[in-house]
Amino acid sequence: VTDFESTVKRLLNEQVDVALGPRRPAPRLELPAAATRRGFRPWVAPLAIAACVVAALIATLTSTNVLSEHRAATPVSTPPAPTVVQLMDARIWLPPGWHATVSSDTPSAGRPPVFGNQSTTWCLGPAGKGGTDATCRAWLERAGQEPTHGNVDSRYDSDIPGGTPHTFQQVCPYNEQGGWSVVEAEDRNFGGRTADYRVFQVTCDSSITPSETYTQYLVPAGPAFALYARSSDNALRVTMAEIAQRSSLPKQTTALRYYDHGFVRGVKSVAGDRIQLTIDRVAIGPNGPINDDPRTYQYYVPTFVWRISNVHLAVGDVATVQTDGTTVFEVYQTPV
Amino acid sequence: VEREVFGGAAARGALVGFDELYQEQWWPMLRLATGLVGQRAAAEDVVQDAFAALYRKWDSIQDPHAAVGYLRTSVVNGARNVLRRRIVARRRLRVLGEDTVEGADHSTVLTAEHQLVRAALARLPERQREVLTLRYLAELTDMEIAEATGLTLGGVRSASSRGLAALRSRLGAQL
Repeated sequence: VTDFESTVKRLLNEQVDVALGPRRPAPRLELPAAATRRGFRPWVAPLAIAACVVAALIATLTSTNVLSEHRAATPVSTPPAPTVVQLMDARIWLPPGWHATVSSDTPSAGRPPVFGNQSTTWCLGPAGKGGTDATCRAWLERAGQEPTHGNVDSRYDSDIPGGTPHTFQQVCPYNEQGGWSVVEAEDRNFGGRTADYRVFQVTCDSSITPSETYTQYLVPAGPAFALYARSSDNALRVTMAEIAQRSSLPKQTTALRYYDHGFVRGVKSVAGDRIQLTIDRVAIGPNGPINDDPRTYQYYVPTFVWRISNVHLAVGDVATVQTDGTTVFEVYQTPV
Repeated sequence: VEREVFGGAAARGALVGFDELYQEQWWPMLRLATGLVGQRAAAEDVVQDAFAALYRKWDSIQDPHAAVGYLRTSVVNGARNVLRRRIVARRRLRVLGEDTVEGADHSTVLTAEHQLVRAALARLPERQREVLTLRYLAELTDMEIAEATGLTLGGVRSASSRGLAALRSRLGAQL
């Protein structure tokens, strides 16, 4: 926090202090007549009991049929073999016994939505009840559209587990305050493309929700892909590494990554009414930037974007750059 | 208000009722609302509405933290509505100048510095003003601000960075 920020904070608080005066107890809350809560309705109980009895009867009959069918089934004699499946324009290697199923899960069902509603997601895992549908151990997601100008978001930010803070609320369902730490961060091969590989330890503040380990391969250039898993143990991480190594993704079609951030190493005006911004890429953990990669990357920011963004970047600051794959449309200083 | 036991929290050994939450959170929410709308009377209405809405949902809320998050979001939304209605009313009534119903001595208590910050904040776009107010007045984290405003984490950081840069360029030499 800079001196300027401290001053703004102090002045803001003093303004409110002046407007409100000293703290006073809450007045009696006048609730409108419409603000009544739904209470227990006595007539619901007999209906609920009847519904339970019918449900139990149906479940018993169904399970009897299912069991009798299973007894008649021929046992599988050949061990499953690894497979390679074509998922849109990607060829994905799957370990023995695994399947890929298009996932229709919604974020509320616990699926981390990396790229949003326009994307296609496959659930990867061992066969489930139907013999073909996968029991989700990991997800593969292909972005459906490129980021658009003015649509600032963190979907392609490799340093957020699952891409969005809304995902995080799913992890801490009691709306607990939580946090995450970056356990591992490096560039890895994913199907012939460079992916930002991250392992996150996600922890909720209360002890109600156990901490989880997220593993994420994110390819943040078009077409963008993400391979990720919640509750990932060592065995699952090894499997994911194998999937990443043996699969084949379509070639990069965009000149630029959609999202990048790093230490500013240089800012200068260049021909073509542009600003050349040189950054040294970092992963951003809760304790500050992790900078294991000495390479620098250059972005050319149109001068009007620089002006609109109203940034005052100096060497050593951490800058975030967002692009549509061709042009930088957003640049800002990242608080770390 | 009838005293109620918080089901989810009670199961974990903590008794938290609507009354307690109201007593504890009314003042912080009033401060936040005042920072957002700039007027005490309008802020009190916003907070009243937020608690009334929470009361209606009380049975479905399982955790006190969720209740506080819900209140913050309601206050931010309520403040947005107040400010938007104010803009529409100004247009219709062709009233010029700053809308204020504070006492005559209110502005004299504030120093020139306060007035400068108030005016500079008022000129920021809605999103930037909200993010900076939530950060400096309510001292929320980026994650909490994202939750309260419905912005993404990147959106919060961008709005914060841009808003602060705009304030610095307008006030830097004067503060």
